[in-house]
Amino acid sequence: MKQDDQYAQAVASFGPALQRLVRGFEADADRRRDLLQEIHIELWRSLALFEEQCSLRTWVYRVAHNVYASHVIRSRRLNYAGAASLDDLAETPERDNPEVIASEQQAVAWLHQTIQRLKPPDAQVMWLYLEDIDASEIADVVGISPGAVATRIHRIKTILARMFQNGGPDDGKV
Amino acid sequence: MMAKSEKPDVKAIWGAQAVEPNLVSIEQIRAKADKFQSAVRRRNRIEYVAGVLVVAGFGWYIWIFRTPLMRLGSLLIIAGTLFIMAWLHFRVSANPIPSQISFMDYMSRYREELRRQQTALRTVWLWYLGPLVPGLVLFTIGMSRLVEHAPGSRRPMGPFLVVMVTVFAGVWLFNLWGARKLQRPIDELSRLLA
Repeated sequence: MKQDDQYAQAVASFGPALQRLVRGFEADADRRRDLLQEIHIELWRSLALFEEQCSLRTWVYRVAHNVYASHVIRSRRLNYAGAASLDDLAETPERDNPEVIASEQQAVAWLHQTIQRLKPPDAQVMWLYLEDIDASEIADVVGISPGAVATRIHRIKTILARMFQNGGPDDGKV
Repeated sequence: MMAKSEKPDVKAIWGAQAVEPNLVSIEQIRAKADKFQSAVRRRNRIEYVAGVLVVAGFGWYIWIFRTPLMRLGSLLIIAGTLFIMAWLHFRVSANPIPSQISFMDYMSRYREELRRQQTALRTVWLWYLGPLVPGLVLFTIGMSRLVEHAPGSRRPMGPFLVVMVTVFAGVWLFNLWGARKLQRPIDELSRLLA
């Protein structure tokens, strides 16, 4: 069955990314498990309509982010006004001591916390950037212009560079 | 440990997070999706069954009650119920939003859907309570006249009217409360989309 094959292919290729998505966006372990299951069910269901209108990766990431968004809205936790923007984080000196980030585990924990603090769609752009997705595909997934994505990526690089105490960011390295 | 002298490759650190193997089979996913669909179908079926019961019940009243007011009231209640069922089907039932569209489009569609639901809840007096009122009023007047002429009658229609008005007011207020609760997510989505 085409739908099942496509789902199996999507899980084989992007299953780990979906796990990183729920860890990045959802702090609560029980909600994380429910969210991941919800994403898998919706992904399987949506693939009945997949006819390569876009890449499978774009499709999977769109479904995952949209399921996450509706999960947050349904649980009445959408707090756009109270969340930080990338501009806020880039312009405000970080209160946490960068020396604290001494291990890769702590770096990942800090990235999770940062994504959870951010407003959508800044959080989406940061997660996709960390997944090494290029700007034009990020624009396709999030639905903002490539220019707006480029500006956000610049901010993300600034924040990461400052947090990890290193100079000029280059692609992927800070 | 990350060496302080080196530039950490954050994307590599991010991608190296340990992940668990996917232990959920396609059969399990399909079963869960089917279960969700069945729940939706069951909910819709309950609405239709309730409507059919009301139509059947008042249809039977037309047959057994001979007073014109009660028969006309029953007929209007049936018409009102059919109108409500049609309105629920065409105007109120949830419109699923395709999940494969871009995030911002999805948010925009989600806000429209919440606004639509909010309008439906706010106007419940118009499409849910209102269509039943003429029939219920006529039926109640007809019934009270019937009871007045019955031997030993003690006008039992007062409590019935109080209960009916209380139920209608309760349904109206409950729906207004539901509409109000939707305002916060609508506001948050509007800020996001601004």
